[in-house]
Amino acid sequence: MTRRIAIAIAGLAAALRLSAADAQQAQDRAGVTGFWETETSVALITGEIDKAAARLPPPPPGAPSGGPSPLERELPRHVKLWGRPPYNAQWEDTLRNAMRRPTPTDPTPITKTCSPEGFPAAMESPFPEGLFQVVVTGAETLLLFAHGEVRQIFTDGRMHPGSADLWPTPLGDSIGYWSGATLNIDTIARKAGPVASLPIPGVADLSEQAHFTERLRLIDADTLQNDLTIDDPQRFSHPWQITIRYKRVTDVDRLIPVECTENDRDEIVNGELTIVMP
Amino acid sequence: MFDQTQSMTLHGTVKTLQWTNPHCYLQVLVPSPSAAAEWSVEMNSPLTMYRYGWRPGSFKPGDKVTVVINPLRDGASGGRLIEATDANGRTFGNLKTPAGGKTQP
Repeated sequence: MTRRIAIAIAGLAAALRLSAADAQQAQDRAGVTGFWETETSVALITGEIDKAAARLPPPPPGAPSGGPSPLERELPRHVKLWGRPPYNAQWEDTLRNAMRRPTPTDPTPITKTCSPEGFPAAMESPFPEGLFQVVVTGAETLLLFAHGEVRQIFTDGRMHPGSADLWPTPLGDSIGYWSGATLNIDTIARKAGPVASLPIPGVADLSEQAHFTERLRLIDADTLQNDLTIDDPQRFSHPWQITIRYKRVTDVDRLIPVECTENDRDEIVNGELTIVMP
Repeated sequence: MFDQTQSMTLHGTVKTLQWTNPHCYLQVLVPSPSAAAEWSVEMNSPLTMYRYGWRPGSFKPGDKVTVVINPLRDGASGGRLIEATDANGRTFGNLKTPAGGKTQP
């Protein structure tokens, strides 16, 4: 009888411990839910990047008028994914040759670009429209973007689809698992092409073989960190590791839609981007 | 597109606030000796302007407004919003302020 009571008590204690662990786990995961934006977006909307742009030296004499604005010159310094990846020798040559060719002048400023960014660019949007909402369920974590994109990260134990059921898409295919309060994400089958759909020389160009891992975790109540590693055996000499931080967004309680076509009044007239009358 | 080294102040009345994607616009009628000239003041997306404290009803047709802009480089009647102040002295900016976007007088 005493032995049975002891077993029951031990069982109850284990259940309580498990329950406490479950509660902690649920609390950890709940912490990542909500709205997030990159630290670059915060610096942009508070004017810090504009102030840095104002301190830039003027364009060199003879530079064509209508070139990049100070903001367009400053912003790329803040976005890690727009930096130089560790290309292998073959792709360094490809890039060097491409840079030697004259490129047509594109007067479209980067701030006019508003189409969905795809992965991984969407994870490091410098613009306030790039904020995203994290929703955690038992079977998947959803990253919802104002442009309408949804990253589905399945945490139900499934593997990536087999080759017959898998083809490259702008977001790729993501599966993940939780280790404590960290969401580990594995992504493949991302459509080949530049990381960013912006005319930035040298921005990473990824093959369909690119393999992405992310470790997403809170580092304090209002800061989320993403340790992103991109391994692209066709392009890179070694994996490219980037850390992106996000700040919690508290001034919206819903995703206000963003899209390009409703009332785009910016047009190029006589070679200059301008506003056309409604 | 915009001359960010220059700023210009417009005094006029609101024709309409276009609360639209990809960008919002404040259409302002500015009196001139001949006839009122219409200026187009470009802002950011509704999502961003909402975060800066703007709402679709922040300005209504006929409201008096003072607008500071970076003018268009091509000299057309338009520019990028820096801030707009209504007849009650309430200022709506184009950046996020500690107050949540809206600067009270």
